[in-house]
Amino acid sequence: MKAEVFGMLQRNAPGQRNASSIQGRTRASTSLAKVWYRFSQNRASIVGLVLLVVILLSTALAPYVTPYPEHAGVYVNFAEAFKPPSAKHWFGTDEVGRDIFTRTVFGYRFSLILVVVVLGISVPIGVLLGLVAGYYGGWVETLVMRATDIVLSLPALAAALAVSAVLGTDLGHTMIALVAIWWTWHARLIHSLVVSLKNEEYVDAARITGASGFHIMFRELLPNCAAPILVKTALDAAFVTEVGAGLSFLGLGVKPPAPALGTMVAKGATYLPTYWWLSVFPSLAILLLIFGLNWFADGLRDVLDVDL
Amino acid sequence: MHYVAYLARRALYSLIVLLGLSVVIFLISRVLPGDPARMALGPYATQEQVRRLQIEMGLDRPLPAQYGRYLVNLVHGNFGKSFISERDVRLDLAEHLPATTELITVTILWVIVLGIPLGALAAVNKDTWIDNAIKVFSSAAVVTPGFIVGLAFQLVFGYGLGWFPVTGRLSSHMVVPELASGFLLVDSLRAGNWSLLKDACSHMLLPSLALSFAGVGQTIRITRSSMLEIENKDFIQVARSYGVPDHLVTFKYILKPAFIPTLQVIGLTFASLFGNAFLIENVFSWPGMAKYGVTALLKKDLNALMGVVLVIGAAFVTVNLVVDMLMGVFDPRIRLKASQE
Repeated sequence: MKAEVFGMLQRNAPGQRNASSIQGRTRASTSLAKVWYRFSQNRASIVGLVLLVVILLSTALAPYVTPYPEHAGVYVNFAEAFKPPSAKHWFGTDEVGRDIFTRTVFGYRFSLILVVVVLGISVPIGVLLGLVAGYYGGWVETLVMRATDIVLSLPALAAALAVSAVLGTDLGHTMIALVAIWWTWHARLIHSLVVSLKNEEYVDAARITGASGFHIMFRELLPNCAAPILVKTALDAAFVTEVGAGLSFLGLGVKPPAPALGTMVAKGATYLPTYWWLSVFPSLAILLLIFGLNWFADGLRDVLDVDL
Repeated sequence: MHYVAYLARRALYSLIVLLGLSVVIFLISRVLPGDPARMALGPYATQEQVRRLQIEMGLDRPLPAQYGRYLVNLVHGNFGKSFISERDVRLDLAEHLPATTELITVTILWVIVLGIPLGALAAVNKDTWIDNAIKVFSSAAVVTPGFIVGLAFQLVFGYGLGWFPVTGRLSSHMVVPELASGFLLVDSLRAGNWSLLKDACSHMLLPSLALSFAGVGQTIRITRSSMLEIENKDFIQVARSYGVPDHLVTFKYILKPAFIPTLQVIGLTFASLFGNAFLIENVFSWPGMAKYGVTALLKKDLNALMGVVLVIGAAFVTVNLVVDMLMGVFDPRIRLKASQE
């Protein structure tokens, strides 16, 4: 009985306004069908999903699906250098004769690792701090929110550069730099959500029944913030990819000879316009991933009915 | 509370954020391994010389005292010496800042003159092919990284069609007038040097357009959506039913209030502009601050880099403050709400 009442109250909470969810989910299969229906309403989201699946699969299976896996590392064959795109080398070869298609697929690995690690660490930190700041208020709130103000007083890229200056410019340090910035976005989002949610009746109800602050934050408030967090994280994945590509374009992150897409573009750009394929294909690869992530996030936003 | 008091509080708040930023930067420069005095003197200095410089630089005193000294220096525009150029960072910044400021100013102009009309055009022609075409363009523009747009422009309009130069601010045969401010467009106008102006403009076009893309896309989106929102308001229905001509309704009653969220987005765009300028300046070999900052970073020139970071932070905070003030000017509701707080 109690659980039912709580469930009702939660379903009526903001962020879950769609009428369908009030009727409750009787059978998992119908709700899955509903989710797919809403997702597939936007054709771009399906394209995004397909793009992501293809990129993830080919990246995971990179050593098997690429024609010359050994070209991902140290490999030199000057006889094959600067070959234009052909059946043998789909994207052509670079200045030391490495297959660009192979290196592009391997390059995705670093983009994806960056996204997963950065968001995997910064989202929980931001969510936790935002929850605590929003729920308890007082000096904790002041401390957390002013810290986000300071971090956000710099453009993400400039802040990442400043942190990298202290730590160093390799991949691990670039990740730390991005984590140091990224938590603030989520802390702000959750803070504003919690501030508006914490006076809802279901929170009062939980408090009256003697629930602890821990219970209220993680069992009452957090589930109601889950949808916006998910959508924001999906959108952020595209943004982290962009910033990561930008940083590696400037020479931060993965060190050669390991292939990073941004580095390949930067290196290739010095051979423009004659050897255009050196920079054009890695650029297109970056675009493909960013567009895929964005379209997928749009679909997720439709499914979860979130307005960010 | 009076509106002026509200603005004063906002200004004070911006100042506090900047102070916070300076504390962070100070701490960063102190946790860095390596003794600044030793770094400044090089490996051949004796222990005695290092010791003397440490005392001279105040490195033997407690951290709060060091911070106080650091802050006083900052207020005087003294960022310390650059290890690479061996000059005052202030001089280096003064040399590089105009190029970046000029680029960003022209970019903001593009954001306004392209973003708002295109957004209005899309809103007026809602759900037609015009709207759809603009929508596709704007969503692509928002997410495409600036450096890729820049490279595409170089490839097509620079190398391919040969319409515009690909790198730098000026052709090498151009002579900059004496007593130049560093703002080439202004300098050439003031000197009445048309060939210089033309050369500077043709160099400016591709980088500024490439840099503006994300902001243009965002401005289109927000202009369109806020115009459509206002379109449904009662007072627009009233105006229409009174027979007020369509163009008057669109431009006077819809576009004007729709400008407020747009202004906010343009202010936010400014932040990403400074970030993306790092990339665009790199693509186009633009001799600006971002390029200076990246060089400083890769060569571990800490004073120079921190100078760049502080200037960017200050510019960003100032722009946000100005946007807040402008919002009050455009929207009486904001003034009213602020004075009621």
